[in-house]
Amino acid sequence: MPVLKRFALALSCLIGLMLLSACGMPENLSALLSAPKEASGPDLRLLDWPEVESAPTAVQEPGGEGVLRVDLWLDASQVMGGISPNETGLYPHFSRKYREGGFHYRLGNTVGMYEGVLRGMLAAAEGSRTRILRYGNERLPDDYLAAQGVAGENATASELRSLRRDMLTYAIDPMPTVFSEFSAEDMSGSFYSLGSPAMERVSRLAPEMLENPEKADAMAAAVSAQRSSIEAGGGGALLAVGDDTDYPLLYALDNLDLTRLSVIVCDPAAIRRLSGVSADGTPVDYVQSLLEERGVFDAGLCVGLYAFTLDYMGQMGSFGAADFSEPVLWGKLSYSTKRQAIQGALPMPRTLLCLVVGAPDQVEAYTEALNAQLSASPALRELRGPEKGELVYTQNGETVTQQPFSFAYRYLQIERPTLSCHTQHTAGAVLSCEDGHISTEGSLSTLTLEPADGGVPPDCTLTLMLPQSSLPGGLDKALDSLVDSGASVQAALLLTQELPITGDTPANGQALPLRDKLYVFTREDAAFQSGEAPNPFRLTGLRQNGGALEAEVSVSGSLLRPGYYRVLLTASLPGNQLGWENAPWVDELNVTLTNEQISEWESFTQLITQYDRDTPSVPRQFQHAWGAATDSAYHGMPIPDFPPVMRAPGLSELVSQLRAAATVDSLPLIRYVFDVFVTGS
Amino acid sequence: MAAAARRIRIRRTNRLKCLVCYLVCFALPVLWQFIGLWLIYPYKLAATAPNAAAALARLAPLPALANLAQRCTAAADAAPQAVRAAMAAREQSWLALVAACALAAWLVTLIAQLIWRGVNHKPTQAARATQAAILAYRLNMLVIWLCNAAFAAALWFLGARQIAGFAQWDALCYFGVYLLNPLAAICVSRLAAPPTLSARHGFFKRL
Repeated sequence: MPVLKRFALALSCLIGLMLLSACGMPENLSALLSAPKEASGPDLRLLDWPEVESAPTAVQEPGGEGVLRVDLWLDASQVMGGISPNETGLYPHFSRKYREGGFHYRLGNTVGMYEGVLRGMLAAAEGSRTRILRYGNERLPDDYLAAQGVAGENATASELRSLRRDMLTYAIDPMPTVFSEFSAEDMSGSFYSLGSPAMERVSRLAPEMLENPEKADAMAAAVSAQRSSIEAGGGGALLAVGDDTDYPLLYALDNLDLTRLSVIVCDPAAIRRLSGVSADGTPVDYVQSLLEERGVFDAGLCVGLYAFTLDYMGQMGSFGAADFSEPVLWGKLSYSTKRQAIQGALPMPRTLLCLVVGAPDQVEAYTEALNAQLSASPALRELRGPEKGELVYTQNGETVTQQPFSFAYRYLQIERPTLSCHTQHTAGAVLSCEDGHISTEGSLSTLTLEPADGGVPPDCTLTLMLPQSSLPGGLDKALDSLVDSGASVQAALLLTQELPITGDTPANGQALPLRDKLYVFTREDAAFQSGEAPNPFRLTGLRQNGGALEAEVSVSGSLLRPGYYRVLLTASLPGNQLGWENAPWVDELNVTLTNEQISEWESFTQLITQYDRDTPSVPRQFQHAWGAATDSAYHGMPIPDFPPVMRAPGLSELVSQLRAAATVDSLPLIRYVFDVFVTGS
Repeated sequence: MAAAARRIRIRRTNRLKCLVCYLVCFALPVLWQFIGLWLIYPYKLAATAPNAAAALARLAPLPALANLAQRCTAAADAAPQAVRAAMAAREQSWLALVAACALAAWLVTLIAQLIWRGVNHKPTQAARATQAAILAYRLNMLVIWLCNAAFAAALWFLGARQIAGFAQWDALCYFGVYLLNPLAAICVSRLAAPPTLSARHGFFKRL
């Protein structure tokens, strides 16, 4: 019995101790008893589901890091310099009455306004690394570069362009006085001459300043050989004179360095054909197709278009696609026959185009600086041109007396229409759902759906609210014409296999162990897009709600399996929904040349050659601009209207092609990515 | 009599048999638990560990337990790495708890049985001593069963009840030891009792 007593005592003590040590237990016991039950399925949170890509970084600025680099492409075509391409002709190249020079004419201290514009262009690029490139009617074909040992046989198009840019380089980081070299009273051998000595400037540049310093010698030799060949009259493929589909503007656009800010000065008279028809009957827009091929707008660049009204004095051997046997005189010297002295220059107005190609920010900054320079330049403030009716020409059968004119410019910026595309990174975008839990990590929202009692997630509707601030005006109307709208599964990570646990890891997919099984989840890109399995997600509505854009996505729970779904919500506006900036001046300056007009002008100048080239003095009516309107015929041919050289042929079409190149079929309005996570049962 | 009792000499083989009986009987629960945790769990019960740390922290809100519970808990929208770390911590803490409970129950059982053995070894008044030993044995076994049941219940409430799909493998792995411990105590009590109490045809068998 003592044993029994001892046991009873020990038991009592034990129970007492247990009770004493568990005084606080009852309070916590209920919490312990109400502990939640673990999920019966594998914990899908263990699945690795890659993060969506981060917010798009800003487009790299042309020039990359460091100092902005500017390419100043200067048109060196003969019409730009007012140089007659004919060696012998009715008009002397340099005499007391007749001069060349074009936009860059010089008479004593008087130079064309163009030089002031060029100085402004250089000053606007102050602080940048500026390169001047001379481009005209000389060409450097790929075969020629290979034959001269400049380019290898397998040189890429990009390498060839780089070599050509080097060979066209006239100066790097020049002083403003560099432009004074371009003008002279006698323009023979000038910057604008065909086969000019200015072509060979690459040999005088330090090799380390070039894009291809290791080929500096070969390039210099090639350019020298090119010039010698042109001088010898054997230009052949090295020239593009009179080719309707190969003119300076296309050459410059084809060789642009898209990483730099390019300023391309272009005489519109040197633009020959902007469009044509291929052999199979397909219309071809040359500038548009070239810009698309180079990917100018795809690279996020834009084009700023200037139209300058400048003074011009020279002999125009061509105008658009019209080639004149005898040059058209536009502007002349004021020469007194009585005193046998030159009294001054009587330049005439002409339009000069300039394209600024670069990143929008850089183009805007550059053009702002250029506008300030143009406004401040004293050389561009004075009136120029003939007074007292000294120069007349014929237009629409009437005599037009030229009045003094001043410098003017117009500007238009063409860039790819952009719509602020709503993505998961858009500030204020809110995804909500009443039947599921939405969490946001970083910028990506994840909807978590838990299966209901039947093991199937409930059907639910997701609502995406997008802020108003970035919506274009009149969007409510545009919403009716949305394209590419829908909800697609970009990728899914779904259960595909159940394997017994053997210690081995499956080759594909992610395996989650649970009890005696491995649940293998496999990623499938573009899931549900083949149509074999119905897409559980559907965009059911897109409307404006209280100034915000509201998108509704229905989720069919019965079509969902446990796993992850990455859903992309898309909607796009047709590209034609956004209009272009209205620029009435384009139509005002534009002129369209018909083949009939071209033929008429060419026939007329041929008659001049036939009947007057050998005369000792120029007939009075041709001393400038074919003179006043007259009903009398010239050797049986009615004297046609003077070509409208003061305007820009094809300007409207050029702008249209620039805009067409910038246009895209559709503009993304919504590209919103979110995840849906369906938990296991 | 006392002098005679002091002269009782136990055969060495009998001692050895008793020792082997103890080793075999009390090694079985340990072996069982070892097999359960190191072989059955990874292949039959993988990733089913409940959050025992959280239950412990709810029961006894100590800082260390709270920290452990925090490490074993992953938010609903936690990254896979965080969930993986939480799951690993949860599994470790659960297996440690299972092992600790089993070990504690085993130790209690062994100690209780050894106490009973130590108390009931006097060779005086053999018949009365045997009767008392039988009674003490029954009480001792009651305590042993209760202790093992208490540990089993604690394990159940601290985590096993949260296991979804609790089945026979769970029961064998986690609770088999609490059956084997008293059975081992019974075996050693009945087969390896002190020689003064045991006999060939007695309640306590002599090996």
